[in-house]
Amino acid sequence: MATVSPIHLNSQAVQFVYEISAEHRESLLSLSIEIILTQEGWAYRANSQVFLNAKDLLPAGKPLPNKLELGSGESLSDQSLLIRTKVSRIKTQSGTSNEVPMVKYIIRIGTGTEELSSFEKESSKENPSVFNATLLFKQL
Amino acid sequence: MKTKLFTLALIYLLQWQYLRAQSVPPKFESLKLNSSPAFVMLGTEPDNIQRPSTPTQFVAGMNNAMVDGKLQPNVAFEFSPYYLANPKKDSKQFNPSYYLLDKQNLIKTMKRTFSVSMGTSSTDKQVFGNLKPGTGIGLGLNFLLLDGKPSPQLKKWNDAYIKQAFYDKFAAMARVYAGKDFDISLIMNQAFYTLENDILPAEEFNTLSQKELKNFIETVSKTVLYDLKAAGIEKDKDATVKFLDNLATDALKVESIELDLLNKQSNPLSKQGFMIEFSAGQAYVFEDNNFSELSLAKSAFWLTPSYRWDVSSENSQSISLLDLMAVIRYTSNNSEAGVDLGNYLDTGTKMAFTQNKWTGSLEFVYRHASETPPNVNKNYTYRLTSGIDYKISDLLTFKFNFGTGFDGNTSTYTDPKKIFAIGGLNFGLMGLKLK
Repeated sequence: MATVSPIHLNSQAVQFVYEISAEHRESLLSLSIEIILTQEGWAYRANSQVFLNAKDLLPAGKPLPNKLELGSGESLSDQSLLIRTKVSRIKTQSGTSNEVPMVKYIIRIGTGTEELSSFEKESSKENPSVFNATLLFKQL
Repeated sequence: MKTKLFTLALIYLLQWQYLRAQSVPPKFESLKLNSSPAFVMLGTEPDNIQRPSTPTQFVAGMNNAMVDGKLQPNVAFEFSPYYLANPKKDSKQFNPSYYLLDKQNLIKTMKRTFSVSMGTSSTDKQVFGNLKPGTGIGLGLNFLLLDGKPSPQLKKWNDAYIKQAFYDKFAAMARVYAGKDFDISLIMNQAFYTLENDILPAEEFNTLSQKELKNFIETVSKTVLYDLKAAGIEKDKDATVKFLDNLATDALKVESIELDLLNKQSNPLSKQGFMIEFSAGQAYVFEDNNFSELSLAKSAFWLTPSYRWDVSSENSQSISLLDLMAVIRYTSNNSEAGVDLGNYLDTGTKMAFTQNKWTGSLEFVYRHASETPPNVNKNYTYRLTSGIDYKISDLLTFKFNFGTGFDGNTSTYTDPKKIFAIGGLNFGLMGLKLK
């Protein structure tokens, strides 16, 4: 788990340099996003956008990427990955509290078999919450 | 011994249901199995008219009915082929189509709400006439022709959600534009294409009408280009991106307000408005419980139109719903087998008021027979039933019905009407994963 998180809540992201170690030069890197909501009687509706430089990687309307292929470590060097996810929380069950629950937002970068890093951020009670991250890849 | 075991199992089930009910509030829209066509065909349902509920993969249940004056348990199950093939994921991820279907599309509505049911009970002489007593099997199917509509506030939020998703995509496409000359018209057309061909189909829940979508696209086309040109920034990528980011932020504020209003409602995802359900079924009887003596007793088809008003107070966590329902049903009896001389045409109406776990209802059904024996001087009968339901949990409902039933079949139309009172628990087993 990385100590510094590139994820910004409800504000534009600041570019974060993501270093790819030499041993993953040939590895195919992928991106997954996970949202954790524990409150019963509520659900989340997510809408994500993922751009690698100018290329739109995620079909519009797809809520969350799961092992979305980004490219090899070497090919990603100096490329910028823009991630934006809007998370709306909806009460799905009668009789539950009206207080909007928090969600945990997790970005995972991996090779398909191995998780290289994960970053997380907790939402505020603002509904919807928007999570932004911009990673600039650097091959070591 | 068997009775003791059954009683112990019942006590255990009740305790488990009670504990479960304390921690999890019941879902209002969960299936009430006693509305299944299989029970209707067997004549064991205390209510003749029910508002359709959300289909689920598989549901099985038990109810009590009076069969020849004795209280008898009946068992039925119902499954949805669509949801068996496309199981609802047990996820916290909101999928609007689990709660509400997309705009009225007849084929899609029929496909997603099509359910098949089967039930069994001991046979009743009033329902099955001169057939020898035995085991009745009811087979049924049902689907919706019209599936109601979302609440006005759900539409407002979803409209705002779709528009915000468009502005977000539009701003992102402008931000990553890598062409030589910055061309906002080109980017905007690509964003509109994405909205119509990617965002709306992927969301599977478009509350914007064709007219509303057209108006939105026209308004955005005109105002965005006009404002950018008026400010003289239409060729300036950074300034345009900032302008579009502001539009996306404004759209997010609108969405946030609508979402907040929606979440303050007691039952934000309930379907309202007009629904029409088509049902059909057949009842067979194994006379003398003999496997080789199977007779087709009756076939029927019917329509159930219903209308729901959400009369809950604003900002209240309490649900109040008013339902007005009707039924028109044609039943063809096997006269050769002695079920009844004529066929029936039923028309009826029902009003129900639900407040949280309680539902009170009053139902009237008029039955007209096509033919009667020479000694019977009327060809109609009716039933008038009042009922109270208390939903203990998603799987357990206490029911009590009081009223007068049909005067049996045409051979007994002249009998004095008899009142009935029946109470019991409806058990359900929901959401079993068969795959």
